[in-house]
Parts: sequence; structure tokens; C-alpha cells
Amino acid sequence: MANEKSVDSVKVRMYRHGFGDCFLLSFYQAENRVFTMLIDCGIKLNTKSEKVPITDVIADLKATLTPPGKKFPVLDVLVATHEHWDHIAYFHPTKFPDFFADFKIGQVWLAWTEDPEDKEAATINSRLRDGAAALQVASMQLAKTEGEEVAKVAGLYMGDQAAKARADFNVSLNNVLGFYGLKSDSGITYKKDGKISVETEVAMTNISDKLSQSGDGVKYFLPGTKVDGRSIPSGVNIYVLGPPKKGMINKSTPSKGASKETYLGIDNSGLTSFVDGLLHLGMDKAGGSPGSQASPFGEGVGIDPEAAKSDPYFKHTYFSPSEKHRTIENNWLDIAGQFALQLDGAINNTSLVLAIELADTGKVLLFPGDAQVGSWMSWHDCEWKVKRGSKTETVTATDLLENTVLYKVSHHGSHNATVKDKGLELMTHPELVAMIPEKENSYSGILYEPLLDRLNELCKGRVLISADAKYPPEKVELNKPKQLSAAEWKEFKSKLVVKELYVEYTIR
Amino acid sequence: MQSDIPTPPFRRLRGYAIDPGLSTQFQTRLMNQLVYKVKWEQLEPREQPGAEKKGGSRTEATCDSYPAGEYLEIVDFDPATGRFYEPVNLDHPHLLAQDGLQPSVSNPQFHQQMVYAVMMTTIENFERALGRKIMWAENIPVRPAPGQKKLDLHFQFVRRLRVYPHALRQANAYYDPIKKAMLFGYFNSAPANAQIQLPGATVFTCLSHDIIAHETTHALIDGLHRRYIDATHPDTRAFHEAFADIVALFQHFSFPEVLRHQVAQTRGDLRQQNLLGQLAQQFGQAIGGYGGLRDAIGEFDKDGVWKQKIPNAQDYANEMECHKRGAILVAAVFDAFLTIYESRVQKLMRIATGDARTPTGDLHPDLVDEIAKAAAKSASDVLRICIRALDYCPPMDLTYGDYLRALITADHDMVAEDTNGYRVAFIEAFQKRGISGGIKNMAVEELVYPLCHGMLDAAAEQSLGEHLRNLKNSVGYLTDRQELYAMTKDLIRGDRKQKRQGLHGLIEDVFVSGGSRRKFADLTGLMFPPNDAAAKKLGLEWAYITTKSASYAIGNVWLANRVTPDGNIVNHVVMTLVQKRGVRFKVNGKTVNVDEKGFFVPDSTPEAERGPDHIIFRGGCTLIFDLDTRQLHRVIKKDIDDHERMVLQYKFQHGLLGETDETYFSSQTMNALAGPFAFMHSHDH
Repeated sequence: MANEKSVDSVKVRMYRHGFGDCFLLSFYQAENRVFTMLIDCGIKLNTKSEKVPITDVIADLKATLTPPGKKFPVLDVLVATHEHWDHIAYFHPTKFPDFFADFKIGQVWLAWTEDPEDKEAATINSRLRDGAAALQVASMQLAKTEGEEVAKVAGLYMGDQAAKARADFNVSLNNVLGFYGLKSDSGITYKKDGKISVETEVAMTNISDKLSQSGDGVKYFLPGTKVDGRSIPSGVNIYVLGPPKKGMINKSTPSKGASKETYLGIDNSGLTSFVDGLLHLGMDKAGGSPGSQASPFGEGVGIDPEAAKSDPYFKHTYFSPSEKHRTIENNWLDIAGQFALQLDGAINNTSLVLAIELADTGKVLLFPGDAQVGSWMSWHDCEWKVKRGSKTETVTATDLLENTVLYKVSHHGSHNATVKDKGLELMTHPELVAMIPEKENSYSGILYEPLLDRLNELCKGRVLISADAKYPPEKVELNKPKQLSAAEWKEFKSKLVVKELYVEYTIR
Repeated sequence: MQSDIPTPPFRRLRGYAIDPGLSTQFQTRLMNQLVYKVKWEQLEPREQPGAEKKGGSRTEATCDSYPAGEYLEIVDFDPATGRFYEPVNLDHPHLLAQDGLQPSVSNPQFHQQMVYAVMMTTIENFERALGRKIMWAENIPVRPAPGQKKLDLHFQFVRRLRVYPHALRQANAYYDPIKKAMLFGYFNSAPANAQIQLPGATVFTCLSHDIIAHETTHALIDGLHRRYIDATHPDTRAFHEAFADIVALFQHFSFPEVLRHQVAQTRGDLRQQNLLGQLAQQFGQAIGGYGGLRDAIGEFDKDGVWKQKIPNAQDYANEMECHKRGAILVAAVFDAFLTIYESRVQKLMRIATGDARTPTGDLHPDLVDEIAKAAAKSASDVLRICIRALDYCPPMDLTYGDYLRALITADHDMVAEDTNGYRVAFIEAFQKRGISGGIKNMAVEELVYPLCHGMLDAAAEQSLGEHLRNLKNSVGYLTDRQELYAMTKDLIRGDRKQKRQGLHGLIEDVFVSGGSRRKFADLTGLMFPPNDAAAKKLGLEWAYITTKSASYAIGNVWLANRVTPDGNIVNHVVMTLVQKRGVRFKVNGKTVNVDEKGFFVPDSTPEAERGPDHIIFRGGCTLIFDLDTRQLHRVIKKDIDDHERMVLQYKFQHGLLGETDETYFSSQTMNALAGPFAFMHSHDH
């Protein structure tokens, strides 16, 4: 039943400041804006757009959100999907003190994984924290010893390639660390009771503590629930799809084969001893002493390298000057690359995933944060009851995906964050539009071309990318894609605004 | 005289048959500990401070020693912990008297003993099958060539593979081809079945027979065919993996304790689920899967029910992922083995039960013994056939089809009449999985590489024969591997000052410039353009002005002395000839064509000038020369001018064959970091 006071349109504004998410959603009843929601505001290190300074974005947010006659911007809901720098950087209280400090924010929405009261969350966070700290130690150590490793293989056949690979590897590792606002040379920021990294934690804490003070505070959401109708305007249902509650959170890459699940999640990675070893290494440097669990054989077994140097056997094998290329001090650290990906995937899977439905038309806006495979698969375990008129209906993830008309592409369009059969292939709505916040050359593998191709097919060319010089939205606006009918094209154009600062699309 | 006592034939060393996991299960505890009988060798003696040389009164064989011998040196450094673990003294009288150390997870010296025992067992299996001493891949320093811009490769003999039993903290172990080292990892387990393994317990990859045998095989193949680590075809890396699994798998069957146990348990039906067919038990369990990591016969499905794998003729065409593709080859060989084994066992079953059906009750222990013997015989035959086939493989770009033809041809040369149907068993098993070797008619005669008698100019063939016989005379009786290596290299190179012609020069003289240039090129798949300019146009190097042909390398020259089952002695020389070219392509979407005018000489063309769409392409052949008849016997070639193969290699290396790579850290980066094997075994997929 159409209600006069129901929300009938949503404007989605995607800012174009670089490689990072910042989405402003404005909900309208006819001409009246009745509700505003900001989903994330962040950037990956060193990926700023040259054309759009972040200060312009903040200025636009303030201008748009400050009601006539008021001095402060007013935001109904702030959503922070997950603790990665490219999603929450600009909420950092000291690096960007004047960005959000004066906002009046009604509610802050976070995933259950941020809830300090949740025991499962505490376990996950402590694992993630240890992992990130370990990773940073590994990365520092690898950076420090790069010269040494390169020297080892110098003058050997294929040695030049090995040396180049070493350098590339360290760059890639730093790239991943960029998601935590960290660099390998920024010193150890490991804090015993802290969260993933000090920088992202500070930003996240600022969101949950300071920014939420002006309103009702923080709401934590569990999958399979709906946002309380009293918090949102009528005519809107908001479904929570993720992060998943059990187990699935650790699955970041697609499993190959029918039955084998040999992935290494964070909790069963077999990398515990690796992480422990690194943390001990880190503590050593910080003046602590390594504990007994550092050795697989217990304390006191074996001799240290100094003593080994004078042992006749080790002297002419391991310490032989002509056999330096055969030594292995740092090889155990190489797994850091793979580990970084797992950790990154696990954190992406803590993304709060929201499906926003306009009740009158059933149209859905899907905002999955950076959810990866494990999260997507778990959505299908959820069911929601929703009142439609006098009837109570059951809604499934498949229903929501089939009704999706706006898909905020997960994880900037990477290869492992949009599931095929149980995800994208279900998005069959004829009005489907995709938005991808992403900048070229920021992260290898993004944009994943096969995904982009398929999105273009499903959306019939209506794919809007924020800051990638290769795929400017200005071009989308200019040329009618072949697959679109004239009527569809006209309709699409009428809902689309492309500006240097943002791309805005209206769902009606 | 006590000094007349001969050295013992074996060093007896206790170890796990499969891995420590099975010792904690009641059913398997007895069969899991066995004594490896490792061929006796003199290990490196410990310096005894103050002790004078005792003038032969005490033989060297009884000196305390380090775990370093002819082939291996075990250096137990654990960099994550920062500890060196004391090298085990396998010649300690107490250890000699009780078959080495007691198997123990918590004793690093036992770990060294286990690694030594399994690696030496694997090496021995290769030497027996190949009929010669194995060589590790050479160490290759590069130095500027005198008076040239390019760099020269120098080849150095590597006597000992370095072995690090506790090098990594991860569920991984690998062979590093630059370090010539084996790195084993350890990790904390997270098993699906806590009854079998304690969660959080430390699992050591260096205690798993399968993992050790697997990694040793990588090193052994690298020593035989250096080019097999190049990923030029979907089959090349997969072959490395699969072959390593095959060796580990069939080595199980040489352990009578395990064999008898499993035969009794499966009542002789090895198609059933059994431990022998599963690789890396504990490793697989510890990272949370069911059953072994790579299971040749079948696998557990989602509900934990074991299912036999059903071969599919589309498998080979469709499966591009390296491990899955590898599993196809393992399954094919295992299938062939089962066919061979079953034909032997059927007789025994008929005698025992009156019909050929699998009995329902427990088998009579004598029958178990006989069946176990049949299994052991079939397995050792299959393993030998598989290893021997490596001598019949092309020097690069190996496909499964090439390997099948190598298997059949090698066996044909050893056993004239296939009375037991081995060859048919192999062909059938490969065919079921869609592996054809490019041959339409999968008959034995078609798959055997043709004989090459009379294809060389007779006089030239004679002089080549003479040269190779000299080689046999000078190196055939050498027992020291380094001497053998040096002498072989010398006979290839010759000595200009002493006016002694090497094999390389001889080939150039008698074939390339001796009038049979065209014929020799056709036969070997190499190209011999008439001059420097013509060579450059084709992307071939013409190294020095004084040379008479485009450059080609003699990769290997090996003697193979084998005794056939009929008691004949086969005297072959196996050698490989290789050329390389730089090839550019014209690429238009998915259409790829060789740029006929774009060939370049790889070593003198810097990366920046090669353009985006290029590959380094190799071709050449393996020649098998019969010393008795002084005739060229077989040629297995990969044409250096095969455009189809060039396009295929380009497509494969540029991801156009439907294989998806990890996109964050490119697989190339990962591979070059610690060698191609480092990340193939880390189980992220």
C-alpha cells in the first residue's frame, strides 16, 4: 500500500576523491529530504585523486547536510562498514580533526564485530590484532633485510629475477598494510589491548565514542536482523546481511572443487606459530624477552647462532662464505604475503552489509562494504520476516539480490568479493546500476576486468566508477550503450548527475 | 683379521612409515614404525680434538659423524627461533646398535634421521631405475663473457643438497632451486577430527614420508631436466607436482609392514580407501581437511563419505589448475598400477577362494603375504617404469602426452614382449582421462617413438659413436660424482689447446658444417641457418665469429646402463640439445599470431626492447644413442620452429587458456621469490 509519507526516492552520491568509499544517501518523500545516511569516508594511503581534494568532499557534505538556518551539519545515520583505512580514514580525530567534529549525528551503525560486549567479536579482534601486528613485524624485517637477500643471489643465474621479485613482494606487502593506515617503516604500533592497528582503531573509536555522542549512540547489528523501523523513515526496510556470525568470516577466497575446503582462515590457519614467532621477534626488538613457546622443542634446546659460528660443522656449512646464497634467515617470513591476504580478507568480511529496500516498489540498494566470499555465502543462511500490508512475508537473500537496482560493488571490484552464482548472477533486475569507488593503479588486481565485463552486461552499460582515469563516468553519461533502449537511456540520464566532485544517481 | 670385515650393505634407521599421526591410532600404530634400510655410506667424520690419526687401526667407518654424506647435508637451523639444533651422530655406537634414534616428535635429532632416511631411499630408487648416479642441478654463477657484452653462464657441480628440517613456520615445505636446498616447515594443527590430532599440536613436515619424498623428487627432476621448472605449458608445473606425488605414493609399497596391514584391511582390494593411496596424512588432517591432502584413488565428499574418483575423458582438456591437473596424472598412473596388480592378484584369489571375488572375511595371513608381495612387485615395476621414462622425455615443455610416449617407449626398449600387459594398462589409464599424446590411434606401436636407424649420415654416425664410446670408457667406471661430472663436461667441451675435439665441436663439424645440415636439423628439431645474419633474423644466437653454426647447448650427457628383466644389458647414452629464440607476437584480442619478422636474440636484447607480447622459446631434442650398435636409437624432439607451440606457450603464459591467477601478488612474483615450488604447496586453495 503506498503511503503518502513513504520514502519514494533515494539519491546516492558517490564521492570521487580517490581509492576509498564515501557515499551519501538522501531519502526523499516527494520533494522533501526526510533522512540522510553517510556510508564510510576513507582513502587508501597514497591514492588521492589529483582533481578532487578531500576538503572539497567534506565541504560538500557540510553544505548538503547543514539545514537552512542551522550552523551544524546534521546527519541521521553514520555507517562505518569495517576497520580499513580506505573506509574510515577521515574519521581520524587528530589527522583530520575538523572534518566531522561538528557533525550532529543521530545514530552510528556498526557491525556486531565492533561490539565490545560481544565475546565472539573479542576473539576475532584479538586474532586480527595479533595478525596485523605480526604482519607489520614481518614487513619491517623483510624491508630491512632486502639488501642482504638481494646480495645473496647477485651473480647467480636467475638471481636478478629473484632480486626483482623480492622488491616487488615487499611493495605488495606494504600495499596491503596501507589498508590499516600503516607502513612497514612506521614503527611498531602493536598494542596489547588495542585493535587491528592503532591508526584505524583511533579512527574507529572516534566514530563509536565521540561522533555518536550527539545522538542515540551506537547500534551494533547482527546478520539476519532488520533495522528497527523507529530509526528509519516509513517506506524503508533495511536488512542486515553480514558480517556472518559463525565460522564463515574466515573464508576470503572461493574454494575450488566441490567438497574440499582447505583454505586457511585466521583461526585455523596453521600460522599460529608463525604469528607467535613474529610477535616475539617484535617484543625482542622492543626490549622484551622471548617466551618459551617460541621454540617448538622447548627452551634450552639447540645453540644460538653466535655459538654455532664456532661449531666445526656449522662453520663450514651454514657459515661458509662461498655458500651465502644457501642461507635461510628470512625465508620463513615470505609467507607474510599470503598471510596478509588472508588477514585482509578476514577484515573485509567483518563489513556491515546492508540491503536498503524501498517498500513500495521492492527496489533494493545493496551496500556490502568490502564483503568477500565467506560473507556472501552466509547471506543465504538468513531469512527475514517483513510486514507487507496485513501479511507477513519471508524475505531471503535471493529475493533481495533479485530486486537489487543499485549495487555498490564490493571491495572496489576485486576478483574475490563478488560471488558469481549466489551473488551477481542473481541480480537480474532490468534497472540494475553498479557503482564502484576505485582509482586506477592503486592495488594490483583491481579493477578485475572479467567482473567489470559481466557488470557491464548485467547493467547494460550502467556502471559508474568514481576515480579511475580509464573509466570516467563522464563517458557513461555521453554515449548510449547499445543494449539500452531509448526509453531506458532517457530514464537513466534523468536520474544521473555527474560532477567532478561526485556521481549521483537517484533510485525511484 | 678384523679389518677384513666388509662395510655393512645398509644403515638401518628407524622412522615413521607415513607420518607421526598414525602412531597415535590403535589400528595403525604397529605398522607405522619401520626400519629404513639405507644404502651404507661413509658420513662426514667429526673432528676429534686431540685424537691422532690411528694409522688404520680403526676404520673410518666407525668414526663419529655429521649428517652429511655424498648427496645430502642436513643443517638444522630454525631461523624463527634463532636456534641451531645439534647435528645427529648416526655413527654413534649406540645408534648403530639399535637402528638409530627412537621415533619421536620432540627430538630434533630424530627429525634429521628421518629426513636423511627418506631422502636417501628416494635417491636410491632413482639411481636404480636410471642405472647411474644422480646429479643435483648445477649451481650457475653468471659472469661477463670475455670481450663480450653478454653474460656467460658457468656451471658448477653441486655435491650435496642442503637440507633444513625446521626452516619455516607454515604448513609448507619446498625445494629451492637457487639455494639447492630443501626447506621444511612446521605449524600448529587445526584438525577436523580432534580425536586423531590435538588442536594446536605442532606438526612437522619433515616427519612425513610423503612430504619428504615429494620434495626430494622435485630436486631430483630438477637435476635431470633443468628446464622443467619453466612454466611453458599447463602440463609442465603440474607434471613436476604429479611426478613427486607418484614417487611418494609408490615408495609406500616398498614397506612390507604397511603393505601387509593395508592388504589385510582392504582384503586385497586396493581400489578401496587405503592409507597407501593417500599422500601426506597428518599434513592433510592438520589443516582441517578430511583424509590425505592429495588422494590418488578417491576423496571424501562434503558429508565425510569416501568416494572413488571416476575418470572422465574431459579431465585433461578442462582442468587447468596446477594441482588438479597434477592429480589427473597421479590418478592415471595409479589406475595403471591397480590394473597390473589386480591381474596378478586374481590368480591368488582364485586359488584361495575358488573364484575371483573379493572374500568377505579376514584373509589368511599367508595369502596376505603373497598378495603383499604381488603389490610390492607391481609397485616397484611401475615406479621404475615411471622414473626410467624421464630419460625419454624432451628437454623442455613436457606434456602428459609426451610422458605417456616416453613411458611406452622406455618400457618397449627394456622389455621387448609385454607379456604382463603393462603398456596396455598405462595406455588405457591415460586414455580414460583424455591424455592422448597427440596420437589419434592409441596403439602401442603408434606411441613408441620411431627408431632412428639410418637417419644419420653413416660416417658421421660412426665418429659420433666413437666419441661416445670414449666417454663410456672414461667415465663409465668412475664412482666419484664430482669426477664424473667434471669428466663429462670436459668431453663435451674438449680442449682447444690440446687440440682435443669435444662432443660439441664434433657435432658442429660432422653434422652442421659437414653437409648434413638440413638432415640433422630435421632430425633434432634445431635450426642451423647458414650465417650470422640469417641466424639473427630467426632470433638465434651466433655466439662467436669463429663458430660454424647458430648456438646450441648440450644440456646433459648421461650413460644409462640397465639390465633388462630378460638379462640383457642396455648401453645407452642420453643427451639433450637445446636452442632458444625470442619470439614476438601479433595479438588482437584472443587471436594470437607469431610475428614472423619479430624474432630476437634473447641474450643480446634487453627487456625494454622486447616489447610487451613476447616469450623466450626453447626447442631441441633428447637423443638416445646405442653404444653397442653405435647407432642413433631414438630422438624425442620439440621443434624450435613450431609456431603452434609458440602460440600455445604465449597463451598459457599470458593467462589466455582460462587459468585464473591470484591477482594481488602475481604468481610470477611469488615464484621468483623462492623458486617455483615455494608457493605451489602452500594450501590456500
